[in-house]
Parts: sequence; structure tokens; C-alpha cells
Amino acid sequence: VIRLSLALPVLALLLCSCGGGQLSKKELQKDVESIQSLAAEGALVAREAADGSTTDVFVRVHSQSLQKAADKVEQKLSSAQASGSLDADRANAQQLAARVADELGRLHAHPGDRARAAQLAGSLDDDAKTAEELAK
Amino acid sequence: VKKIFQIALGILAAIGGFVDIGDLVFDVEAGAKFGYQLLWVVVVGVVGIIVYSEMCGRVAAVAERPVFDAIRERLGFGLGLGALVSSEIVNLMTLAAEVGGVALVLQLLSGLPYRVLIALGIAALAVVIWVSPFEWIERIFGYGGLALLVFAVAAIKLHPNWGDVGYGFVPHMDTSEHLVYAYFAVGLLGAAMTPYEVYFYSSGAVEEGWGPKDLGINRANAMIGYGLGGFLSLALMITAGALFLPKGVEPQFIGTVPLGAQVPLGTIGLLLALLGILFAVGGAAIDTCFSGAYNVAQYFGWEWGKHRRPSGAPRFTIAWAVLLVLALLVIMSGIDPVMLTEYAVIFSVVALPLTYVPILLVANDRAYMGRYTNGRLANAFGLLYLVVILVVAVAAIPLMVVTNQGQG
Repeated sequence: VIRLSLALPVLALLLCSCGGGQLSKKELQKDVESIQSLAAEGALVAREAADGSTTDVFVRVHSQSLQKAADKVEQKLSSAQASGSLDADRANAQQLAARVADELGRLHAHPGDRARAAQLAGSLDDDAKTAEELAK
Repeated sequence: VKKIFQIALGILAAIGGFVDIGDLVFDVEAGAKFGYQLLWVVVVGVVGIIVYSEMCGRVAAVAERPVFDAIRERLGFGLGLGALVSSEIVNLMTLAAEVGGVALVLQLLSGLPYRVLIALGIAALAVVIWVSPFEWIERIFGYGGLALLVFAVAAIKLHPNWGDVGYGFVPHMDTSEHLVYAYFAVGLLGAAMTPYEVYFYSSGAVEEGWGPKDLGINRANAMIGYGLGGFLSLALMITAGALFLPKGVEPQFIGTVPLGAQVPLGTIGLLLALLGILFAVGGAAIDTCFSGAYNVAQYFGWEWGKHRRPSGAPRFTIAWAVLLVLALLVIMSGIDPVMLTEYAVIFSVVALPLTYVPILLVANDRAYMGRYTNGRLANAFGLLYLVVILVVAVAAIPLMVVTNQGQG
């Protein structure tokens, strides 16, 4: 029982951490869905900041978490390889991830700037829609 | 009047103390992914924890045997040790995840660096454990956790389709991602039936000196407390289904959870949600820490209990202190608390039969329980949940691997 209870988590961790450099269509779709999710959540945070119905600390901390996640997706897409038309989609997704990360970074840097937050909410909403189209 | 007051206080604490980081993660992720489709699983999980904890509380009150005392007796030293090691691994993972959750919420409130807050959080938990009486720990965190009721208000303010919400209590699968659905069903069951809650509950019954006269309190705490606590889980899932699913938000952070209250209720919703999460997760961290120490002390026959002075139960005191230090090291390694929570919940499901089966056996043993053995209803539910627990224990890790932790 002890051996089994120790071996199973290790096996699961190893299997979960497996990944490759060649990007599959499914992996790209998952990455684009991640970008869509991060942009949509960023838009929610930005809109609340624009309305003044949040705290600066929350906006600063949470938008940074989202930004780091978007950066991670961007880095993954930039180091991945894809063939044919999938590579064009990969490049588009990478650009989009970079843009989302940049916008979240600006929200993180200016959490109390309501006008800027309103503008970023619009941009992030647009990014989420673009990602949704790209994921189809 | 005093007894009713005592029951009411216990129930309130159980409601506020029901939700922990596992519930927060799985309820919100499941709601954002499948809307209201998995609400029925929360009900199944809540009934399961009621059945399990009622039996444990009754065994503790009548036979004066907490969980790991009974396990060693029933399983023998070797197999019992296997159950202990598995439980301690899961306990440590859960404790580390809860500590990480505390630090993340403090960060969302204060903006201070995460690692500093981990250290501060651990220090604060150690002080609270050291200086506060058992019932105060239980109640302060339980009452604080009641702030999570803000999610019930948020769920109403988000105007979900109540027809769809009602249909969510009927098992159905309106998705092509069958395995991901099954993974979240297993995770929700695991989050609702987290074993440490039962170890803590059972040991607490012994700490508070329950006897057969307290079986009514046991039943009320288990049924009403956990039952209403499950209501918070439902509110979290409905909030996520109404807000995050239409926008395609896949929650990956603890900070996503309070957004569910902030969007419909503004700053006050955000602050209540953060405070509720802080108390719920902080209380769960203390419960988990105690549970780990209780398990070891009960298994090896050491003196144990919060009601004793540290010098009266030195090995028990060292055990909880060591667990806190180990949790500090695990979470300081940089592991993501949300990911750690998912592993902890899934592995707790795998380990659950090892502690559930001995309790079911003892609860049916006249030599220990006299006339307080399981009745027909308790046995019907006990056996039904034995089957459920065995099925999900076998399926949990394969589902986690195949679905890449629910990512599909």
C-alpha cells in the first residue's frame, strides 16, 4: 500500500509533465483558449477598476498573476514549432498572447487610473473575441 | 436553552468551516467549465460527508475512539501504517495548499510579497494554535467563514437561469468532454468528502468529551452544519456558472474566486469574499495541521489533544509543529497552490477507503458500540457510499492523467 501510494503520484506527475517541441493543433487550441480566458478575466478586472468598484491592491496583484500566465503562454508559443498553416496560427496566437500580457502589465502598473482601465477593458474584450475566433 | 445555543454555535461553525481550498478550486472550476451540470455531485458529496462524519462522531462519543485509534485496531499495525502514511501525505499536501491559499489571499488584501506572507501566515497559524482554546479556534474561523455567504447573494444578483440551476440537481451530461466531466465529478466528491475534516471532527468530539448524551449534537452538527455548508459550495458553482462560463474564463488563480462576488456586488462583495476565503482557508489549515498530529498520536498511542498543555502532550505538539514546518518548505518551493490542491483532492479520494472501511466496521461492532451500532438507514447509506468511494478511488488517478488535470 505504501509503495503504491508513493508510486502513483510520481507516475502521475511524470505523465502530466510530458510535453514536446512540436505543437499539435489540439495544443494550439488549448493555448488560444488560455489566452481567451486570460483576456476575458483581465477585461473583468479592468472594468471593475474603471467603475471604481474594487481595490487598487487587488487589481495590481491579480492583473500581475494574469500577466505572468499570458507571458508563459507567449513564451511557450514562441519556442514551439508547427508546420504549414498551423505555424501561421501559432504566430498569430503568439502575437495575441504578447498583446494581452502587455495590456495586463499596464493594468498592473496603473491600478488606480480609471480612464486607462476603461480603455484596457475594451482592448482586452477585443482580444478575447479575437482569441475566440482563432480557436474555432 | 444552553444546549440549543451550543448546537446552534456548532452548526454555524460547521457551515463556515465546510469550505476549504479544495472546494473553492473545484467548485469554481467545475462551474466555469460545465455551468450548473455538476451541482448534483455536490449534493452526493455532502450526503457522503454527513454519513461518514456522523459515524465517526458516534464512534468517538460512544466508544471514545477517534479515527486512527479505530483504524489501528481494525487494520492491524502494517496495513494501518499504510493508511497512516497515505493520510499524512495527503494531509501535508492539503496543509501546504491551504497555507499557500492563506498567503495568496493576504497578498490580494495587502499587496505584500507572497513569500513573506507565507512565512507570516505560518507564524500566525502557529500562534493561534498555541494560544487559542480548541472551541475558539473552531468557532472564530467557522464564523469568519460565514462571510462566504456573500457568494449566495452574488449568485442571486447574477440572475442565473433558475431552470438550468434546478436541472443541475438531476444527473445529466450535456457535453462531449465525458472524461473531463467525470474528472470534475470525482474532484467535487473528493473536495466535499475530504478525510481531514472527519479526522478533525472525530478527534474534536473526544477533545470535547462527548458521550452518548451528545449523539443529538453529533447528528445536528453533521446533518445541518455540513448540509448548509454544502450550500456555500453550490453558491460558488452557480456564481462561476453564471459569470465565468459565458465569458470563457477558466479559473487558474485563487484571485479569480472573489471576482464572482465583486462583479455583482462591488468592493464590499470583493472584501467579504476575500475575508471569507481567508477565514475558511485559514481554519482549514489549522484543522489539517491538527488532523495530521491527531492521526500520528492516535496511531502510536501518544498523549494527544489541544485541551492538554503542550508539556502534557509533547509528541503531539511536536507533530503539529513539524507538519507546519514541512508545509512551509513545500509551499516555499514555489509550487502553485491551486495545482497542489488538485493533486491533494485527487489523492485524498484514493486514500479515502483506507479510513472509511474501518470506521464502517467499528460503527457496526456491538462490542464497541453496544446499542448505538449503525441502524438500517445508516448501514444502507454507509454501504452505498462504500461502493461510491471505491469506484471513485479506482477512477481518480487514471482520470487525472488522461484529462491532464481536467484540461482535456
